[in-house]
Amino acid sequence: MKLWITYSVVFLFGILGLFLLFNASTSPEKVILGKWKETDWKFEKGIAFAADIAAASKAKATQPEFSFHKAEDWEFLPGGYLRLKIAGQQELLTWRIKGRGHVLQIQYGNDRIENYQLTVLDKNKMVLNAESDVQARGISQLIFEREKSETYAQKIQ
Amino acid sequence: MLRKYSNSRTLGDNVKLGVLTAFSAGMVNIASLLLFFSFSSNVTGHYAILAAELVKGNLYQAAVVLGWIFLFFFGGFVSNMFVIHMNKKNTYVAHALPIVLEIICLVAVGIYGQFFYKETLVETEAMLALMLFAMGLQNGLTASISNFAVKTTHLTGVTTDLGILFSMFTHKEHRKNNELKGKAILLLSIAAAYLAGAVVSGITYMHMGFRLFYAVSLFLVVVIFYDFYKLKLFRYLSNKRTKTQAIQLETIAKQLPNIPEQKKKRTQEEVPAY
Repeated sequence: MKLWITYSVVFLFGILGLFLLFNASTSPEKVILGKWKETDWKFEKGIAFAADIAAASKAKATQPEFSFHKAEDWEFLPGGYLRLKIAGQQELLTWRIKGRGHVLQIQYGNDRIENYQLTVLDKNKMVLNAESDVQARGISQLIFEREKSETYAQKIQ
Repeated sequence: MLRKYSNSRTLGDNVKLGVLTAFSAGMVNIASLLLFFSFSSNVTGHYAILAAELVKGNLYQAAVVLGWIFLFFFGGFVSNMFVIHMNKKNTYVAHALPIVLEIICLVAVGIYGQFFYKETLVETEAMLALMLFAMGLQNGLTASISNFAVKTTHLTGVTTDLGILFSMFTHKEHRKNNELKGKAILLLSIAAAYLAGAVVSGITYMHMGFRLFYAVSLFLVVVIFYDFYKLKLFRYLSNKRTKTQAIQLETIAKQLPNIPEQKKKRTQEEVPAY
């Protein structure tokens, strides 16, 4: 009987610890909500590969796994919608976060899916690693900063 | 496969159990990787990820991974609890219950994924948690009943043991050792079955999606019913044989009604009088 109590207490403390850890943190699904400005776009394996990737992308060799968004505004909306602003034009896509919160999946209307590794996600910065296929031979990194929206204090000034 | 325990198990029992469960584990692992971007049958990587997430200060991800590791551990715990506490009452039931629980978990993932899944992060994490618990149950059971000879949800130990065994086979005396040869056959069967399951899962995932989990469950049903069927078949055949013999004897007795009397007389004649 005493042993059962010891086991139960240990398990309960473990589960309690987990819940506390969950409460002390925020789900990536909530952190990602809002407007993000794409500030940088670089290749981890050096700029030499950029030409390869761009060429492969133009030839649609890497499609449908990977495409490039440059100088865009990304707005993650609740309900899994993503609004992209490209040269004044808007595109509405859907987004999902998978795994342990480390994969961002973007789905286009024509069932095309892009997967990005969410390497950094905090209040101000987001870094997405887009793993391209073998032909492209490189990993591109998309770096975002959160767009500063007007706070209540700014509005009443 | 499930009736026997520990040292009473034969190599054949372990190979059959190992192949079927490793095949299903390979299927589950690749299905979870393709559907949820995370492994579900091995936890070594999860320990590394846990450390990495803690270093990066990602408490949410660390909590998720810690929860998954706990559930794999808890699966093994529950499995062995069934085995050690129910073994004396009914070995078959004690060994089949963890597999039944595993089937329930996997079917639940299949049904939820097929009909209700909205691809939220919480749903993904919960389904992965169920799968890790299921794999913990399976690994705990196979390891427990085979005296730690069969572990089918990950191949780290299997690959290490195979490396050791193959190096041992460089000695002639070890090459002649049937026990070592048997162990190598078992480990190779497990590795091949796991790989085959993973490949099949990778090929069929595009067409089957979450229905893949029903297919995995079918393999586990085979594991359960193999012994059940054998037990029933054995009993049925024994009963049938007894009944047939009884009927044959009765028929003979009817055809030759005087035999017992003749026998009796003969017996009386044959028995010498003292």
